[in-house]
Amino acid sequence: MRTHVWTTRLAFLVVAAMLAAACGNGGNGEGNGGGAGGDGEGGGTVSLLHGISGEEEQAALQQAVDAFQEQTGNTVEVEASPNFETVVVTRVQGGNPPDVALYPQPGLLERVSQDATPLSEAGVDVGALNDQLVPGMVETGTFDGTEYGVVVKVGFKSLLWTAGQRFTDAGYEVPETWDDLKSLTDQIAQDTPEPGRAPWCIGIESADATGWVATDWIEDIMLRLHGPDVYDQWVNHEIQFNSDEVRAAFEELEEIWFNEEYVVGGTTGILQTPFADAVQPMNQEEPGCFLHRQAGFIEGSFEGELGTEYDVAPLPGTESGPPPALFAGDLVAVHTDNPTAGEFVEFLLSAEGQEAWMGHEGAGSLSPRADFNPESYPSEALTRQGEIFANAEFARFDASDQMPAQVGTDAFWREVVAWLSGSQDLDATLTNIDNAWPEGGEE
Amino acid sequence: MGQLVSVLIAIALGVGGVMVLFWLLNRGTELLPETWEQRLKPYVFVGPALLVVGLFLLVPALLTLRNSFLDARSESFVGADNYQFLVTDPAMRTAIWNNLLWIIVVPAVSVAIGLAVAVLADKLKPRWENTSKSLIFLPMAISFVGASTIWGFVYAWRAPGTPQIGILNAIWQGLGGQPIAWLQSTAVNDFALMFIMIWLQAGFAMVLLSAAIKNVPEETLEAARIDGAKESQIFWRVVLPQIKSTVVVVGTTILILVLKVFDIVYVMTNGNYGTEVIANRFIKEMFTIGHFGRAAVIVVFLILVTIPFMVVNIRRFRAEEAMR
Repeated sequence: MRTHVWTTRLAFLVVAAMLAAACGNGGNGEGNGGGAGGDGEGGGTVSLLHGISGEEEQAALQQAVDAFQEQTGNTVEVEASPNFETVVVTRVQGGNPPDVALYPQPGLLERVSQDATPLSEAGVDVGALNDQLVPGMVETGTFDGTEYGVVVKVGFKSLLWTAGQRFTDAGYEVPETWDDLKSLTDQIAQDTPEPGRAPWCIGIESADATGWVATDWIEDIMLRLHGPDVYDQWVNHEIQFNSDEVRAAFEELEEIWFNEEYVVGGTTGILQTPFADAVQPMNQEEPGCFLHRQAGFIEGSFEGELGTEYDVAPLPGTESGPPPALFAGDLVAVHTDNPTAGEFVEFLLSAEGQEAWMGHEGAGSLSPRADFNPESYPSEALTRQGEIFANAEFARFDASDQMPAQVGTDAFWREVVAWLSGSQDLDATLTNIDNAWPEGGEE
Repeated sequence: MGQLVSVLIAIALGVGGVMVLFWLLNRGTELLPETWEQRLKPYVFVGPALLVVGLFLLVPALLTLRNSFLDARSESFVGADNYQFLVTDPAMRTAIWNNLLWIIVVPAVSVAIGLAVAVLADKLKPRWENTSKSLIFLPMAISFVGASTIWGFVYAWRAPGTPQIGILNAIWQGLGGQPIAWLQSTAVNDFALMFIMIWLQAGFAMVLLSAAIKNVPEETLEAARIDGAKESQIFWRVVLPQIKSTVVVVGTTILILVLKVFDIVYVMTNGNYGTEVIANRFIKEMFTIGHFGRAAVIVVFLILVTIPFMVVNIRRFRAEEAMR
């Protein structure tokens, strides 16, 4: 008797489940790719995974995606992941990769390059790209002689932000050389003895990425002190961190960062202030600081207008004239043999794709295309950055993003933070970073 | 909508499927001759669960053990290199030292606070007892990351002379001091992080210890009072020995949890300023760096360290069951 009751219940459950399965899946909508049905042979679907955050940036990307969908009739399923680095590796190694992915670090792409499709195999015309893009954009994503990724979006980093009118009113001038920058720092320091006011606003706190702002500074200094060849040797570990050249760069940083009078809040302030909040003192009526070095995205944290409340200038080199350019960016790579993927990649790198993406109101990046008209950028600041970038003496991708992960996203950050917090000296810091370099690499 | 239906189907199929499975297995054994049926039935009922445990727990554990002897991509044998890394890498040594500190401080303080609240609340009127216990227990409902975010704001630091947004520094600066960087100062940051864990776990300790205290026979307390014992003597000499096994179980449970802690450290300091812990290193090695050999060795280490405490826990559990 009891079995009867259970059997009936069971049967009911199973039947209900089957009914639900039959009805439920029928009404499922399509992916979140937006409208399809444009002109073009289309009909293909391609999945895109990226880690770009921020409403405006994502909207800018969506504009390029929409343009692609309209023009070709293909559908793009866009997925944004706040933990992109973790998710993409898990998916790629788990056999469920996205068709296309945007990598914020070349090192990360190199790590999964075995599971990536070389761009030429995906139908991308690499030769044409070499001609159309700024030199270095394709090389950054080339590992072992094969092109796996191309820089599709550029974050220009070597910028000096000043307090605009209030800066010039106080009698200061934009420095032409690095030494001028240091004397300017000293001058402002003498004019701002009160606590809470100093020449520089610096903040590097960034949760599990704390330290990257410091490495950006060091990379900029490396480019200026030693030039591109030494920089490349440093990236490839042909010269150690504990070498005279690199040590000199760290010591330049030390001159500004470790001087309690030069930075708002001193080294504790540097370590505890989130990088996006670092410019808050400059937004006060009477500016708490006058100088800030950061990539273009920081413009969103300033209050007021470009030219009045704040201003931007190239971070000076050691001699006057066009300085070197440090940049980062996202590389686009393909993981499957979906034919639409190659089409999508080519579109993203094309003139219209770039125009739709970088020209979007509120976007904050530069285009890797050499022929991009700087006037198309949505803001005055970006136009200026575009001009600086195009005229730079030479450009290099962020070093820590190119180094192996255990150095670039672990030891380099960690040791610099320990150095800044005063718990170890420069020697130990440099040696520790060297020790973290994986053996069996290219030496 | 489609997703909701899929979830319901999954639940229905999961629950229903398991029921069907057991029903079929039961029918199957019933068809056998009597002796065989009696012999096989226990295994038949435990079998599926053992299979799942074996597949999802034992096999990965063995694979991890194997990976700990392989290189970064788990391709070639490297002998004890990863084990050498475990004991020589400075970040790992800091982590192991910190974990040691954590497992000494956190279970002890959590149990102490839980015990104190349990004993004191016991003496209140029922309504106050329930209110105070609920307040202490509430933090358990918050995730580790949520708690870290909350306390991140409590510990926040701004430059001296500027408005403080962290409550601790706001009070401290208001009283005339210089704001302290709680998460950075190596003297206090470990304890600042531990306190978050204690805040989360004291409620758990309190609930179990409160039940244990209430189980202490009233006669033993009265006998002690008649003999002229003071309240504190009653607590230390009469109550505590009788709830010893609960204290041990609670302590070891919290200890095992502490060994796994990484969210708090990850969110608040990312292991900087000397706060690194083993599980955080695991996350870095596994996901940021992608060195599977080292990640595996860290897991093996954690398992080895956890085993003694699990054994103690299970022994106490069995002893309690035997007493019933």
